[in-house]
This record gives sequence, C-alpha cells and structure tokens, in this order.
Amino acid sequence: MTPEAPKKLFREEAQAESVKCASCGGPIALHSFGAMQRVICPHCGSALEPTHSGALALLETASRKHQPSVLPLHARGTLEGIEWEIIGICWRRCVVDGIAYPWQEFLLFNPYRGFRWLIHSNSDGHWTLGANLDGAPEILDTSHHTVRFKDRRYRHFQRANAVVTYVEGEFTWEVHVGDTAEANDFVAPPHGLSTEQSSGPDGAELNFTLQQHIEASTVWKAFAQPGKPPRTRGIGALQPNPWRRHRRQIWLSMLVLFGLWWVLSDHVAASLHTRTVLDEQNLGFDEPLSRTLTIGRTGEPTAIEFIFSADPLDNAWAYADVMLVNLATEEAVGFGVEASYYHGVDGGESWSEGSSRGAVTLGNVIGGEYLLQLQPQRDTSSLGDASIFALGATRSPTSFGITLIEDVHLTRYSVLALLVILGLPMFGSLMGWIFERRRWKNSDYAPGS
Amino acid sequence: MNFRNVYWICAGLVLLLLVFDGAAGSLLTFAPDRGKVARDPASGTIRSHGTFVWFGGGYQGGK
Amino acid sequence: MQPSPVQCPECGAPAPFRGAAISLVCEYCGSTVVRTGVNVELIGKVSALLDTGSPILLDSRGTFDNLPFEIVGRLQLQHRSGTWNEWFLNFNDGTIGWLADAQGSYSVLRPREKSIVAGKVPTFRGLDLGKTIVIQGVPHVLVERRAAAYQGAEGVLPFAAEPGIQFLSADLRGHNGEFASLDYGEAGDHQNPTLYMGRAVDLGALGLSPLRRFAGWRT
Repeated sequence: MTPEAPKKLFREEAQAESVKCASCGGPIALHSFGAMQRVICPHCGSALEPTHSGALALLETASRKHQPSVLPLHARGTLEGIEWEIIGICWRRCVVDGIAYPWQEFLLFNPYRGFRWLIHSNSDGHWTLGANLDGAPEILDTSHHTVRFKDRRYRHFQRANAVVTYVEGEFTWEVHVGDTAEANDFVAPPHGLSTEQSSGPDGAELNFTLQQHIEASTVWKAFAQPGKPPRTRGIGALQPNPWRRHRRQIWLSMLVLFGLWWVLSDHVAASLHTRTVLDEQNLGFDEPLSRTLTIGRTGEPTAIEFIFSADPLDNAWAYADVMLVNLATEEAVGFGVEASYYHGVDGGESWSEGSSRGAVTLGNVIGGEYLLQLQPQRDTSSLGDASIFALGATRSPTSFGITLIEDVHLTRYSVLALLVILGLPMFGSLMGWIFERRRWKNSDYAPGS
Repeated sequence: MNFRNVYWICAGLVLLLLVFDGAAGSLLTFAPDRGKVARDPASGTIRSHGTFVWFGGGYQGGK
Repeated sequence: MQPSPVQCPECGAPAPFRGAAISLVCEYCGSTVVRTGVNVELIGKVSALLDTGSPILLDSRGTFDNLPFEIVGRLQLQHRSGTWNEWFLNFNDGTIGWLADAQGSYSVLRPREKSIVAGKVPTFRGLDLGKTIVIQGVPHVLVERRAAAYQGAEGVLPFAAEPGIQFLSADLRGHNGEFASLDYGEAGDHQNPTLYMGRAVDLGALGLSPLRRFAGWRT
C-alpha cells in the first residue's frame, strides 16, 4: 500500500548550467550550482536574479562592453592544495587626494570549501587572498586604531570609500555598479584584516575579511597563466618585510656570535709569540744595508712588521727600498717604506702631516733564514743648512733606524669579524626600517600626509 | 636565501678567517712584489731587485 | 530513536518521527506534519526547497568534537541577502544541535539554557550592530541582525515549522572564533531569546558522508 519512496532531493550530481542573457542573448555560464544571488552578464553587464522557480529573471539591463581582467572568468587555480574557480569579477576603486586607486576582486569558489577573494591592486600590482573571518576582531587602542583577533594585532592602515565600477559573473550578494562601502584595512604583514559595513531594510551586517599577502608569481602559476604577472611597484600593504623575517633569531645569534668572537680573538692573540727580530738605530744613509736573520719557525707562515724611522725629520722625507730573501727557497719579497713629516701654518692655522716613522705589515712570511737588503734614500735639500731652526724650514734626516717584529698581532682580522657580527644586524635593522617607511607611505599615516 | 642565512654565513666565514688566518695573515695583508731572486753570475751574490713598491698613501716626498 | 508507526494525514505514507522532532516534512507529498503528544496534525504544504548549492545532504552522518551525529532535518530560511540552511543534528548522546550553512561558511551550534541571557540582552529591536555583549564572561560582537522568512524544510525539526513564520535572530561572534545566536522567535520586544552557542567549523573537519556531488569537482 505504501507508495514508492520518492527520490531524495539533491542526490544526483549537480550540473553546471548555461543560460542565455535575457537582455543581449549572449551565453552565461552558471558555475556556482545555485549559490549565487545575482548574475551579471559578462557581455552586456545586465543584472539577473535567480527566482524561486530556478530561472533567471532580468533585473536591470545594461549595455556596457566586456572588459578583460587580469585573470579571466571561470579560470581555475590551485592554492595551498585547494582548487578554486573564478565565478565572479568585481572592479572597485577608491579616491585619495584626487588620485584614483583601482583594484580587481576575483570571487573564488569551491563547492566544498565555500568562497575566497583574490584581490589585485592595479596601482601597485600586489595580490592578496581573503576569506570571510569567522569571528569578530577586538578594538584595542582607539587612538592608534589597533584591532586584535586570535592573538594577532593589526594596525590601522587606511580607510577608504570603495565604489564598484565593473562587474561580471555570479555573486552571493546583490552587487551593483556604483555600490559604495566604507572599508577599513588593518595590517600585520603578511596578514591583514578588513572591515566593511553594509545596511539594508531588514537587517544590517558587519563583514570582516582576513587577508594574506600572496606573491604574484604564486597566483600566476596557480592559475596557469601564460607569461609573467603584472609587475609590482613599491611595497604592498601586506608584503612581508624580508629584513625582519627571523628578527629574533638574528639578534639572539648576534649575542652568541659576539661571545664566540671574544673567545676566538683571545685564543688567536694568546697563541702568538711576538718577538723583535731586528732593531738597529742610527744607521747612515750613505750605503745599502744587508743583514741575515731568522724569522719565525722554519716552514711556518707568520706576519711581520717592518718599521723604518728617520731622524731628524722636518718637512722632509726618507725612503727605504727593502728586499727580504728566503735563503732556503731563494724567493724574495720586495717593498718600500716611507717616513715623511710636513708641517706649517696656513692662514693662522697650523697643520701637520705624516710621521717620522713608516711601517709595513707583511703576511704569510714563511719562517726560516732570511737575507734583508735595504737601500735608503732621503730628501737632501737642507743638508748643511744653517737656518735649520727657522719656522717652516726643512730638516733633512741624517740617520735612520729599522725594527723587524715577527708574529705580530693583526687586529684587522678581529676588527673585521666584529664589524660583521655587530654591523650586519644593525644594517638589517636599518633596511627593515626603510622598508616599513616605504610601506607606510601608502597608508593614511604617511609622514607629511 | 634570506638575510638571517646571509648573516650566519658571513659571520661564519669571518670567524673562520680569524681562526685560520689570523696569525699568519696571508689574506688581509697587501701582497708586495714576490719572486725568485737573481744572482749575480760572477760572484753568486744576490742582486738587489730595485723595484719600487708603494705602501700606504700620503706624500711621496716633497710638498 | 525508534521510528514511530505514524502516518501522514495527507497521503497516508509513513511519517517517521524520531527523537526530539516535533514536525516532519512528508517525503511523499511535501506536507508538514506536526506531532503533539500522540496526535499528529497537518499544518500545510511547505514551499519547495531552493537549491542553494549546499554540499550537505539530509541523512548524512558526521562528527563534531568526537561526537558522531546524524543530519535529520533541514530548515531553509530566506531574507534579503539570500537563502541559507540550518541543518538539524541528532547527536549520538541524545542531544541536539544545528549546523548553519550559509555561503560556504559553516558553524555548529548547541542550545543552551535561556537563563544565561534572559534579561541580560536587549530586545530584538534594541540590538545595535557592532556592540559587544558578554555571554558567560566571553565578549561577543553583534555582527548580524535579521528577520528571516521560512522558505522550506525537509526531514524532521524540533518545532512546528509552519510556512509563513518569521524568525527574528541575531548572530554574535567572539574574538577567538566563538559563535553565539539569539533566537527571538517571532516577537521582537522581549528579552528572553533562546541561546545557541558554538563555533565556526571547517566542513572537512566534520567528516560528513555522503556529500553532494558536483560535476567537475572532487570532494
């Protein structure tokens, strides 16, 4: 007696449909399986509304031309493992200080995941991915306009009145060209939070969207678009600061590295056996000098310092042409050392330059028996001059001295290491600050705005 | 390759440089003229090479 | 939860009321049958359910917070910004809940004691958007206030789902994903709404089976 059970509703596979626009007759693909509230014909811009019978009724005719967007309608892309289809495109813009800033919003749809927003700014080329926030943010500081949601603080970036300028496709609300909304954007790069308030006759709504920065290349690859995405200009509001990534790790490791530097510097200095190998003073300029000496330990490299001094030296110079020959390998090192000292009074101010000593540091000197050959030269202009004590006069040197020290401490290695260990984090900090300044130049809080 | 990694690599390199070359000083010192000496063919003594190599700036004699 | 040997007064087909169900939409003729004690009463034909593109199916099963449930009924509501579904859940432990399904956002709500908010919340007309209301020590922000009309139903429901009734309700959201709903029924001037509390959920986390199939899409 019991009749056959009727087929349960919605058990067959839902199908996408295609209808003809009631205004222009062009084909309209319907890919949201009934989730749409409004359909805007891509070809002419007329608005259609689904009726209870399932058919689309013409709401408003329009005759605008189709405008190509950065991504085409019905393109599919996979982001973070989830496939999405663009079912609606909405262009909006806001005007700040007389300049229009347009952007394009792509409504992404997945029947099992709901909706997302992919937003592309035409002015700076940056992209963000947005999702409806399940919750409400907490207003923290009304003066600085900070909101908090799920333990993340977002700072107010800008307030703008957004106007819809172009629409095509399917939408879950009654979108209309000319619609305005007051939007507020809060940032915690790479995350962001946006609020929009809309009101109507039988209710009012606060909409919160959670946004995150997404790289143009990621979007382009995900949607398998040819070529390259539109170029980005400047810093996006949500663009992550590459100088501040791992900030805590950098500063903590700086402390560790500083400690390591201290220990290693100390160890290197302590391992040296600095020794004066040769020290001769009051040598004459008349003839070349030749000495044999032992430097360091045979075969082991060391750093040496060679000091050349001349006396007396006043507004004069002295020079030594030196050659050090390793007697075992017969390899020689040649260098010159100068000592010069000049001083005077120039328009009431006295100045001086140089010194009566010149020094040269040589590295990687292999230890062993050496022959030192030195050819001295000097400024002989005032030799034998009686007025040697007059101001500004020249005093030529009459004798010179040489000192050779082995295994000297080269502070430059230690200093360089310290500069890198302390300097790089400070450099990164400066660059990070510059980056943020560039970011906030586009906000309501730019200095001077 | 981010800034933190660049920092760690540079710090590592510079500390390695300190440890392995800090004493001998082969990399951070200016390399003067090097070469085999010429011996005087008659007496076997070493000839002065006479090359002028400049170290440091400042005055090169005279005002 | 034994199916009762009740018959639909309109067409005579079996009307399997279960659990806390008060009304049932007859699968065969679409009439709404209401059960009061041992009597059943016909209250009218439901409007046809609209296809909102929801992936959820009646009689599917899932799990919420490790508690299995079955979807035994659906209430479809309509208001200016669209049509959405409220799925009636029967949990294994005998309790009930609701799965709100609107534009790809899903939330699971459980009824709570009315005394928690009785007298402590404004009337429906007195609700201000954006205002914070503290419920059991947790601040909630009012994000939506609406007067929704009954659109359709299927399966069983815990109240007399009559075509033409209006639902005055408000949605509140906490700062950590909490979701509360105040159901004022049909009157807008009292301070004694029914309280539901829960949270937003990811559809995948509920593990619903079976799910509706869509051409060109993998579940």
